[in-house]
Amino acid sequence: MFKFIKQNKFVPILIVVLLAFFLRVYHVRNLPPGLYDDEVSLGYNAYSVLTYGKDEYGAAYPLWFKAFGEYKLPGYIYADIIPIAIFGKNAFAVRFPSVLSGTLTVLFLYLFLKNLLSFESKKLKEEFQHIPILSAFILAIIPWSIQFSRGAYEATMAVCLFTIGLWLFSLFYKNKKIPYLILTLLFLAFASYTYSSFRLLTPVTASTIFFLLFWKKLASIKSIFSMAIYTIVINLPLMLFTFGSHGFVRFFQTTTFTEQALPLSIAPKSSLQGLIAFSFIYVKSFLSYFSLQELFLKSQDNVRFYSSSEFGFLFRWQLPFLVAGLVVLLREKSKVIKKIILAILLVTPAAVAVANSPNSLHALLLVIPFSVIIAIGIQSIVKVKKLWIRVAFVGAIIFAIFEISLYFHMYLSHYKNAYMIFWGGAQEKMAQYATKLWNSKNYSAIVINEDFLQNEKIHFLFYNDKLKPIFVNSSWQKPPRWKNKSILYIRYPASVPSDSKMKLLKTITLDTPLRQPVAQFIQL
Amino acid sequence: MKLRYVIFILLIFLFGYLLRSDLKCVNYNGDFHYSSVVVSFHLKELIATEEQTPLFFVRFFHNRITVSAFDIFARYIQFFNIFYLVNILGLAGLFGFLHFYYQFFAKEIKNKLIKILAVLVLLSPFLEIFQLIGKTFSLKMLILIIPYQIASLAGFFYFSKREKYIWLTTYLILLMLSIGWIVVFGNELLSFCTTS
Repeated sequence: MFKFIKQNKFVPILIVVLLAFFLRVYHVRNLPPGLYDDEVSLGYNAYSVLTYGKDEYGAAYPLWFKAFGEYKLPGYIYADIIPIAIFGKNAFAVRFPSVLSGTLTVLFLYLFLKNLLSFESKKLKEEFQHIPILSAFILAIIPWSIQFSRGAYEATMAVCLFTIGLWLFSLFYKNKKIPYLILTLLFLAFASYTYSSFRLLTPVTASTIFFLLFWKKLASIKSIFSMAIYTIVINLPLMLFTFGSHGFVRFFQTTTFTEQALPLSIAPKSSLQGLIAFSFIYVKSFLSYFSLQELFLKSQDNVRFYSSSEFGFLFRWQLPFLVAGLVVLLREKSKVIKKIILAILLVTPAAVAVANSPNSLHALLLVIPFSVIIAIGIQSIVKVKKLWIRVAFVGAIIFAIFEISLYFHMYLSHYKNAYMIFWGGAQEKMAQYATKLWNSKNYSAIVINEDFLQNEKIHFLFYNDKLKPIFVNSSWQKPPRWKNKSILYIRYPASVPSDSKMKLLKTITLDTPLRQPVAQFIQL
Repeated sequence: MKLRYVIFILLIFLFGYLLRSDLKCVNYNGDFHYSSVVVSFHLKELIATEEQTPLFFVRFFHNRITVSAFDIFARYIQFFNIFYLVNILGLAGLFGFLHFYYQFFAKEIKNKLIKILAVLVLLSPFLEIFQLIGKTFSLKMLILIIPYQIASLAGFFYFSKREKYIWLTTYLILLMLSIGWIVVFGNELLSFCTTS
């Protein structure tokens, strides 16, 4: 078997990619438990464009999708049309682009690193020969990547497109063929059309590429000029959107530069004082991406970002390898790999630190440098011949096996119960029950009290867009013109007065051992 | 006077100021301390969610050894939390500290005493995790903060010995940023310790 693997060099990466796909696709329909607001919004808009040629607000084939008071970028939604056409309107189809992107990132990281190695010295090539496959393996099993590949996250797709772009550029650098450069700039543009963080990361990368084109004379001036025009043209709609009134909505929603971010003792009396204070807030946000708590423990991020209450974004066993890898990487006289990995490691947080930080989703691209550094650390420690290091390494491997097993055990057995409330399991159940009642009885209307059941509209659209419920607040009362009509009223559980004309039909609970009530179905 | 000496003296002043403001602390907060009660509670919490899992797996995954080990790990990394380090070393000191450990792990430190210091800084947090250092915070500072600062100074020493003028200027800028950090955020170590 080992002989077969040695003879067929594609076998190890094939195994790693299959492993990555399996870890991302296994039970993805039910785990995470239910589709949360952004997922149903992406899924419904894809379905709506596929079926009606319009988004949920009736705009025909839009480039920006209005949702929850902001505008979503189009990349993920248009990519989701094909899975929805094939698999139907369900959680699997909504999450499929993310699953596929998470898997392909593993493959393209391998190809990218393989290509980068060809630029290195013979010594380093030999020393780092297993880094591409090891990095791909680390990326395949890292909780950070698994968690964001199993939910419909635009960031996962953008990271994949960006990695493909980097790989294509490495091909261009090697072969100096312009089509590779055209594709590089196209994939980088796709990434920025997919996720907001890349609207900052892509221009930085593209500028670096153009700087290299000039500095290293990789192409003729005529070609560089044509490429610059091409880049502007493909990014023009995005630039107009970004600098238009809608483009800043997301920035203002997530920016770290708010007065609340300032310490209580600081009350800027002038714009200069404010500027100085905010520059320190920015430095703090930047540093937060290197916090060990954030990386290895469950920190103060969004709970949906974690695969378990016991795990952060990296495994604990990876910490010594991360340290070792960083030391080796800084020490090595590498021509390309060192510069690229360190650049991604520093530029990513520098770009996303303008938003509330730390945010592991904004900084998802960091999985790339972390995977490579950990892989370098593992390889460097394997090569040390000291007995105590070998013993420690064996111990680390045993602990790694235990920790990885615990991770998947927690994910498969605890996650559904502990996290269903944060995902959309309840909304799915509500929409299904409302459909059942609507079909079995002759209700005139469905009325939903959205005071405690926010964003229900998009869930009802996704699960059954024929229902068309009316959304009201708690002060709503049945209008006299509906006096003799039967109404289905859905609200957050509260006591039903005995003297009222309300008839409690059912209280929907979460499918967890605690059975938390989430909604009441009342006949008015 | 050489720039490196100016920076060295400024660093000592910075550390002195930080130490002085740290004296407001009485003890490290609970995040730094191992507690068997917390571990037992957490263990019970984990087991409670394992209704249908075979007993062997429940015992294999959720036992006192693993939960304690994870808990100790969580406490240990508090001592290397980037913001904790910024508060005891300042931004410039953090840079020196990281450089010191880079030198240590890259095996570029030859002096045995400095090597011992590096190992001590890595091991000393365990004394506080298991609350073996008494209750006086000044003693804790002597064991848990001052060695970090010495390591940072050593890092700067190694750094300034070999590096170019431009890097020393960077260090000077970091020193100014450290002062700015203190002005903007004040003494944030108070969020890592108890004051009464």
